[in-house]
Amino acid sequence: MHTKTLRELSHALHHKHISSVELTSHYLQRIARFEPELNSFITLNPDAALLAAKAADQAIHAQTHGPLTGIPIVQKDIFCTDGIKTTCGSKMLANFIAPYDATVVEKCHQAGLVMLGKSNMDEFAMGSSNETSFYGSVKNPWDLSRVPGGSSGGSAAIIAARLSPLATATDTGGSIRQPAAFCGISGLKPSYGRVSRFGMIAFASSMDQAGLMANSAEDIALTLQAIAGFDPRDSTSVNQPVPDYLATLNQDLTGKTIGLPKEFFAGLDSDIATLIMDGAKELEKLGARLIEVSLPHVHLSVPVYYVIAPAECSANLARYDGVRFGHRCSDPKDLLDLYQRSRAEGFGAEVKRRIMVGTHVLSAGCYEDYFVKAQRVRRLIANDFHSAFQSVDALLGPTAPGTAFKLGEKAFDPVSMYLSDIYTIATNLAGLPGISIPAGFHKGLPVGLQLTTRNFDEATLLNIAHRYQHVTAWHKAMPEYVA
Amino acid sequence: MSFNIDKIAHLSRIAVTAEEQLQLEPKLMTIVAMIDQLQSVDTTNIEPMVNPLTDYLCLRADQGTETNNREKYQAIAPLVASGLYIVPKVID
Amino acid sequence: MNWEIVIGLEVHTQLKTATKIFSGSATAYGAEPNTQANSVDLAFPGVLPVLNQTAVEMALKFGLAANANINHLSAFDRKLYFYPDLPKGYQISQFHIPIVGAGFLDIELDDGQHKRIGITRAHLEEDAGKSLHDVYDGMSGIDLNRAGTPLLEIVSEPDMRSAAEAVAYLKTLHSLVTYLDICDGNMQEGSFRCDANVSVRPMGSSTLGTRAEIKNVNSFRYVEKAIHYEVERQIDLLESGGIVKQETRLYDSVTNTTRSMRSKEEANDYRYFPDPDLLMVHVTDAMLKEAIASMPELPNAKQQRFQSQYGLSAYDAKVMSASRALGDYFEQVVAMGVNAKLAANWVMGDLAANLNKHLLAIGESIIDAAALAALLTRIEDNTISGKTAKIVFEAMWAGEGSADQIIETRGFKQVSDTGALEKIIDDIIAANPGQLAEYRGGKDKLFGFFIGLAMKASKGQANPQQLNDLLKQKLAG
Repeated sequence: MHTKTLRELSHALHHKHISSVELTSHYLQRIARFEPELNSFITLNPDAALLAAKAADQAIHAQTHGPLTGIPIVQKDIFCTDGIKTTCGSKMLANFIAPYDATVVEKCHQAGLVMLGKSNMDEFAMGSSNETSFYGSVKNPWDLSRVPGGSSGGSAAIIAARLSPLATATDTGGSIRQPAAFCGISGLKPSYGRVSRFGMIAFASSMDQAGLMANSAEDIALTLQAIAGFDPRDSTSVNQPVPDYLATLNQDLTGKTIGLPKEFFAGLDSDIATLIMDGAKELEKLGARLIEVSLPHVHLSVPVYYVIAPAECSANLARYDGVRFGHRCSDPKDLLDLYQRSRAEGFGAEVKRRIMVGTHVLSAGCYEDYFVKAQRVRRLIANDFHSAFQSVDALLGPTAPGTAFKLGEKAFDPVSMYLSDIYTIATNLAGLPGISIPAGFHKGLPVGLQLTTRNFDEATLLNIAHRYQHVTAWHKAMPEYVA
Repeated sequence: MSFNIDKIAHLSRIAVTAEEQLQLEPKLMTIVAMIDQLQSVDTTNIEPMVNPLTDYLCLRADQGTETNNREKYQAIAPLVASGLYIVPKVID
Repeated sequence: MNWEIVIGLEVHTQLKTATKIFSGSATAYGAEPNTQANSVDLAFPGVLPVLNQTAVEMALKFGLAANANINHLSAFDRKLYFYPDLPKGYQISQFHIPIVGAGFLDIELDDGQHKRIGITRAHLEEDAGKSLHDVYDGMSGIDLNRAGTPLLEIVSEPDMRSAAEAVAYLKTLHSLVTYLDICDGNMQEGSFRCDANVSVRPMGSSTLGTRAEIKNVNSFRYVEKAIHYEVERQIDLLESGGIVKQETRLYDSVTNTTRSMRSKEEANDYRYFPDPDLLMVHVTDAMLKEAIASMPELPNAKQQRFQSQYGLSAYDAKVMSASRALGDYFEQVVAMGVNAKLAANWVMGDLAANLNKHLLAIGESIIDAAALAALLTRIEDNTISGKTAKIVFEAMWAGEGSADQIIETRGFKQVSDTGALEKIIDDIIAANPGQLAEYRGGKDKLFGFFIGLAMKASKGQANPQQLNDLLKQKLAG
């Protein structure tokens, strides 16, 4: 059952070959079996899931269902859920129960999706390995001694281990695509503004974007249809109609031009480069034209990102002060002590580092030289993409410079950790949509291929990815451990 | 660029022990060294980019949407009394 | 040494919107603590600000009235500091590009001289909550009902040279924002708050002295007193060889002193940066046109119109146009056919005195415009005298009924019936033949004697003018 596509599941449910309660129970059983080792969830919600499944079955019975009614989904624990704990991977929010649903969660409910639980993640989505979670590291289902990537490592491991057919995720610098690559699944980061950020706990507001993880581009397309669109509660969600992604999913690629940024291949591990080029050639066979392009400022993405993201996070995380919600230290001797100790105790090391770096780059004397400078270079990087898209419809390259690394391997060197997002960060800086899809294996570990298109052109992105998955089988591969 | 940990920790309202400071310092220095790469980039006549979107702000009609939810909001508060959030004495 | 005083004012006006600047919570004053603070105002995780259109429109109106440049594109920034009444740990404000740029206001001083005061800028921002001290076991309580109330912060140039000028500017600004109906102007409730930047310098110097920012001066009187105190303090300091520290000081109205604010002691590093949650605000031509069309008549124009349309003196016209509500009240009285001068005298006189005594705004007057007009009409048609009208007014204020009811029940109706008056006079003359002879013999002073008797006989209700005329006639024979 867990090897079926979303379309197949939808068909089976809506033709009553299977009930949502049965489907949900099946996944809950898989979770019970594999979760103790994977640690991919922070909160499990079996009773509520079964109740929701029952309601979905009733809707199906009453013929009031939509295409996704009755299908299980996991929410990354960064999305607020009314009445259910939302921790964002932090001790700070260990007991936080939001009095509202994130728009994404609300839309999932409206679509009839059944929430199984909330997935593990790096603390406040700051991390590339899931090792910064207060709730422990998630293990990569392909190799339990390795990280699943981050920050959406829980969701990625869940999809890879087939513990749910769908999971939400978020991506500020690669947090959907990099773990998707490490876990051999498909992960879409939509354009900035395509999906509402309301109720999604902020890390870096000008780059945070909600997206999806699943086993194929088609599964993602079906679900994106349900969660995309303008939200009056988010001033940065864009008031543009959501196209019919399924209508263009199967379009012929003839006439499409795909650019290979030379900067993404220079210095890349040759085995990984070969796999990515193999993927590009598949697309060429499908009718696409390949050309080399240049993104001359893209090598500056990591330093730009590590100025802007910490700066925004230093402000976004100022609200965790132990006054209205969240962790509060015991017996504060005065107001300053309340702030300093609540925050020192509630935040983990990486979060504290980023807050401090962000405070530094915004402080008097640094603002112009660091923050404004980074914003200017950000524009140069975005301009590189805009120029490239004058001559290409999509860009193709590796998602990450390597495969999943060992737990603990990079934990002591933040900069080497940051560099694992070197190919994904630029997309966030420019606000573009990007997808990572499985493109083969290197030494038994999945390798991800990344595609990027113009702003709000998720249709082309999903079209190319889907055509690729039509002629390849990498996305169907499953870790032996969970087979 | 130097990094004054005491000042930054205070501005960030994060208590840092002497031991933590020893570990923090080299890590922060490598990060600062990494972002220092930006200093050599020519950005003459390049406008800072605040947000990827070029749209203008959508405005909200001045209409009430809220009812009193104090009980629900304060159910998760660390310390409240008589509907107020309680903190150590505030000094003007 | 002679010292020159230099004052600039920062005025926070709470905009009169129904809901907050970035959320749909109500802004009404005086609600139970934290009952008007929603997830956005409380800065819960994941929530986002959405700008209130009416707040933007109100800022535009002010910009137009202050002859200011409107920035067609403006932006919001985050101002970072930790304080329990600031839930997000930052205030959303406009630092880099305010919606209203440079402008000016003309003020009139007590000696009738006019002075132009520069407006540096006016920007939109959110108000903070309130800290209540010692509410619980020596701790403070935080009420966030006010958090997120829209503010327009209006910053003046350091153009004022005395406390009196500062007060004149503040009163002009107060009348302007209430005229524009963008602020209720209630200083007790904090809707109109003032911080004063005060410095002194040797007369003739062109460089500014070090300034102190005085907070919490929330009445016109306190502004004057706080500035006087602060100027004295600075001059004493400088003359005794000391230096003025740049600092924030709090005015204490009980002791009439200013003191350094402990919470502001450390040098602030607010780390302003553009708020990524809010895109640029675009003031379109259509919005501007609409704002222009919705502009009310402003104080100066109203004063001039009152002079030309109603023939009021410059002084009366200025008083009647001091606030929009007062002008409206006056015009309502006149619209009911009352003589404008009479109406103005009563509004400035008995009405104003009673409002002051009971600390009421004109809009809260116990006697509304129609009721006052009804009273004044009875003076004009000679039913009662002006003197009696004052008694009736007090009775109306005390809730005894309408003017006519009171005149009726208290028997205040003037005896204007010529026949009745003639009879009274004839009786008096007949009863005092000696005095009559003396009067006719040239002793004019005795006229008062006869008036007194006649008034007494009419129980004070004779129409004085009529009595006068008739008596003169009869005495002349």
